[in-house]
Amino acid sequence: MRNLLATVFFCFIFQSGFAQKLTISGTVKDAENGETLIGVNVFDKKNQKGAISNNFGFFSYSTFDSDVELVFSYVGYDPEFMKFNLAGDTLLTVELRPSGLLREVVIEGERSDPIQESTQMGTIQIPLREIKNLPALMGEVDIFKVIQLLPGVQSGAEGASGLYVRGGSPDQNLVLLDGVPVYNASHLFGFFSVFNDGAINNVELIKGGFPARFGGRLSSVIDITMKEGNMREFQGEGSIGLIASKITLEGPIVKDKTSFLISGRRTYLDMIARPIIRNSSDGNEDVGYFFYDLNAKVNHIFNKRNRLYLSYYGGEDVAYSNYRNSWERSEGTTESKERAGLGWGNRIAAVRWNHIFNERLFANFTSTFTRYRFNVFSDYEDVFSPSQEGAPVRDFYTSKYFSGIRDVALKADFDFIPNPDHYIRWGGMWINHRFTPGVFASREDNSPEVIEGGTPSDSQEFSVYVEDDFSMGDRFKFNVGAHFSGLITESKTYTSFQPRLSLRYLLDEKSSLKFSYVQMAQFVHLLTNAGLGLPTDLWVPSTDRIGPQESWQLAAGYFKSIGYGLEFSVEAYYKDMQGVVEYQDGASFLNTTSDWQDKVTSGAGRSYGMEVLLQKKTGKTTGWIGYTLSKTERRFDELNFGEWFPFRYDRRHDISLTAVHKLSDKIDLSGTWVFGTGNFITVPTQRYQYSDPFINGGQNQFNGNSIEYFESRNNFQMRSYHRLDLGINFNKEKKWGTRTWNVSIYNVYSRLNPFYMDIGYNSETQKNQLRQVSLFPIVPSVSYRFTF
Amino acid sequence: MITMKKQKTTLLALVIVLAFSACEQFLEVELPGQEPKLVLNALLENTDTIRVSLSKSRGVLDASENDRFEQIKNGQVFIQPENGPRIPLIFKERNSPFETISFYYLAGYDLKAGGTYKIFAESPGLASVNSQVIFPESIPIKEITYQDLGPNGSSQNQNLFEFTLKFEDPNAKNYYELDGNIFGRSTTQANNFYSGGLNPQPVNPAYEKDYSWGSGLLFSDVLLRGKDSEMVFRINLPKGFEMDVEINLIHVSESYYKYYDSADLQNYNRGDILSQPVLIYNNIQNGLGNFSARNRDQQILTITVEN
Repeated sequence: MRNLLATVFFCFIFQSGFAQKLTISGTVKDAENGETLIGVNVFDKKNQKGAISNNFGFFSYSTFDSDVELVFSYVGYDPEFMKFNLAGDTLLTVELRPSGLLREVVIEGERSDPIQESTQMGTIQIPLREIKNLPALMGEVDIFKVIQLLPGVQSGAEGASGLYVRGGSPDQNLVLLDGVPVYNASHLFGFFSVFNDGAINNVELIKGGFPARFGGRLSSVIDITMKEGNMREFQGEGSIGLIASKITLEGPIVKDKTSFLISGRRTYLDMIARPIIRNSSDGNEDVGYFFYDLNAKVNHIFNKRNRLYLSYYGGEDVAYSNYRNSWERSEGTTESKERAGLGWGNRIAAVRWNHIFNERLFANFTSTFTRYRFNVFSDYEDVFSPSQEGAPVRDFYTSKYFSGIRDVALKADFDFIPNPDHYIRWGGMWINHRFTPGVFASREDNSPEVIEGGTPSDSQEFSVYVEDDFSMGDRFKFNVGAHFSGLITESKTYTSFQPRLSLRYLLDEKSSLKFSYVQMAQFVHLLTNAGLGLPTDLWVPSTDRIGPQESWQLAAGYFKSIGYGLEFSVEAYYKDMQGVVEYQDGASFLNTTSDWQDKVTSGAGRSYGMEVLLQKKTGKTTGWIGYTLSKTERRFDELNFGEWFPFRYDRRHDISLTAVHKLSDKIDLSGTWVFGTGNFITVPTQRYQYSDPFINGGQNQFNGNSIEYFESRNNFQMRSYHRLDLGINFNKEKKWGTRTWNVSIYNVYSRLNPFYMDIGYNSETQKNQLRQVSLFPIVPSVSYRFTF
Repeated sequence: MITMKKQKTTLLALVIVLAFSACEQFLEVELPGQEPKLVLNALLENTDTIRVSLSKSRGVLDASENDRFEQIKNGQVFIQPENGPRIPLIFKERNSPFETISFYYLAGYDLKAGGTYKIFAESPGLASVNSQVIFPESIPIKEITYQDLGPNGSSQNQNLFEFTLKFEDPNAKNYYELDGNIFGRSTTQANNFYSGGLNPQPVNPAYEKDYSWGSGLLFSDVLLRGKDSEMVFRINLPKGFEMDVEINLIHVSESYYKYYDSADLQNYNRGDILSQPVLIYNNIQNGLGNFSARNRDQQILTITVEN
């Protein structure tokens, strides 16, 4: 397989290298704010060939003709027609003007990023308009909540931001922010993601048919690109909501040369509650919780061939409680202070340099830093000051549990477009991982510090890839590539060769069949005790005892552009996973005295299903209907007696309907309805007598212990989940900008969906019953948004 | 071990999570598998009498956790050796005001090492159950040596002793339990005696299990070395006593090992809502419980620890 791929690849390179062509290349930007546009269609009507702008807005089109007419088109923008009389290779900048209205009708001969054209399947561009306008929990727009509405993506628990893509677990999603992996993308125990929509330019989800340039995770890539900052004029947007407020400011530092963007969000319930709590406790008590995000970016254009980006993200969740007290006795005064809290957060930084070597060769060099840390701490201090002579006596105890992961990485990616029939990419990456998997440190009075748990460890992860997206004739298009990666630890080195193949067969102008086969490997694991996105989830490396995860995935599908902005797709997939990690029976994250490797076991998973998506991207009404039919199972030698069992988030049926309708220039309506069959949990079904092995006067005497019997892991399916959300926007143009009042209702008919279930004693009926805990009944919210 | 401080900080996190539990609702949802099953607990070993306990399980929704389990008094139990006839067991009831003890017994029956034994039980209204187990061979103790390591930490009344027990682990998968007792009389005071369990602590941390309920050491042969197998363990012996140290090397069936290993772990985690559920090993067809066997070899050493 490797030799065949290499032979095919070098044949096409050889052929391409000797082509004598004229090339038009450059960058496509938004005419109003200077943002580069990703995925712009560049179409040569005469030759019926074209190109697509890449993630940095770079495009390259080669032709033998000196007279060329190109159409640049992009959803939401007026198309740009340009005529050229080429004397040689040409480098230029193209600007597209926003149309103000998502046009209903696609002009004949003009392609608008049609779904049937590309080889890539399992890929969905998340429309930012939908993200901003769909009704949201507590009025907080959330990118991950919108991604959960797409077919093939399951949400975990009610309200949580966890993503389960085609039967994979949350650690199998590669979440990239400007190319930097984000390890815990959750706030508030998973109820919100860390991504501030005000700072985001583009969101792409890839569930299958992964091109070779992506690797490191089994199940999905969520590629999030931040805005670059308005190169022309200063602007901003913000919102004030029930639980958080945010603001985004962007503008030129040097017009058309350097721009900045800064975006921040913070919750403020703690600030409101603080004076109330202090007042009620005479200033002795302070309890609160908050989270914040800060995104910042600087973008500098040296010249047409060189561009530099600096990006930063910092965010944190903090829960705290402070208590103090003092009391007097005849012997003296005691002052007591107690502090406890937990916090977790990410820090991400990236420096990226785009360089255009020539009209056909583009490169991006990136240096990144990412750090995720979690800690729980508890301190107390008692100081006794005697009334009579004598030094104060101090007792103190401090404890801290912390874990985290830190990456430093270097990446280089090259795009080479020798002619319209080939788009070749290659590159490589090196990451230094430092894992700190769960350390508990405590100290009491003057005793030495006690440290239990794992010690930090370093690992090196590397990868190289090559891929070619090429056409053969008018109907066939292929993406063939290979991704080679590895992990070097202190005790062992793992490597993995992963072939990637996608092909598209055009049935006609509007429809195609696609097929893909990919192998993926993952060298890091997330140990999660529950599907809540708890900050206690641990990232750990592959070791000599716990190897990497690997998968292969087959997918096939039918894709069609129906017209009037409608696209339809149906995809079927089968995914096989090996080396998936799960906690063993009885394992608990609270136990830090044992190595994490003693608490987990490796096994296998399989997932298969079918996804149907009907999406409308243009016009007054946009949205989609998605349906997924799927099954996901797991098997471990040491769990469930070696038998297959349902994955916790195995949802047989999943339906989502979303719609955003522009009623008028002043009013937008939006709605979502979701349905999913219930998640699986492990519930005991019987209790019976324990068998005492000790003969103390009588065999098997009842000694107060009983056994809880579980038929199998994940033996019980919770109730189905369904929910309706509605929203309305009232827009008004002001002298200074635009203001929008948003009124949303989450869970309109107040369905009490299960968050978790267990057995509890019902005092009213005086019997044991299944107890369901639900989180969110009907939740109305209002927020005020503005742009200027 | 989880200290109070750890619990406190963890509770803070849990309180915050649970604070978001806005709605609690009891459901009239059918939970499958609630029908009672026949529970059979039996342990074969070369004592004078084989005893079998029959009881009834309860659906998890049926009654509170602390109610006693109904003992089956009108059942029928048979034991059958390989290629032999079914032998009925006799019901015996020995209730006291404080506990219910009833069992089915067979006295004076010799178990054959390596033999396969089946068990059958029936009770009106419940599905009949059956199981089988191989009565393990006794594994002779080849040698026991010991070494006095001196006072055990800060305790001045005890010495730590390290024992090396050597035996031959046969081919195939084997499971063992190491237990015993210590009994001694004071060398300085008349009518002063000491007794207790052996409580062996393994030197190799791979054998340590925080969750073990009993005082014995349960282990498999995955780390043993066949003919040259050994188990190194430590115990405390009081000073000033002449001790009879009884050491039992018990060859147990797979069902014994898996049942007690899983049951101990489940019991240990009781109340920890963040721990993974523990599935209990069950080898009773159509029912619940445990049918297992064990065969012991014993040596008694006399050790005097000078004060």
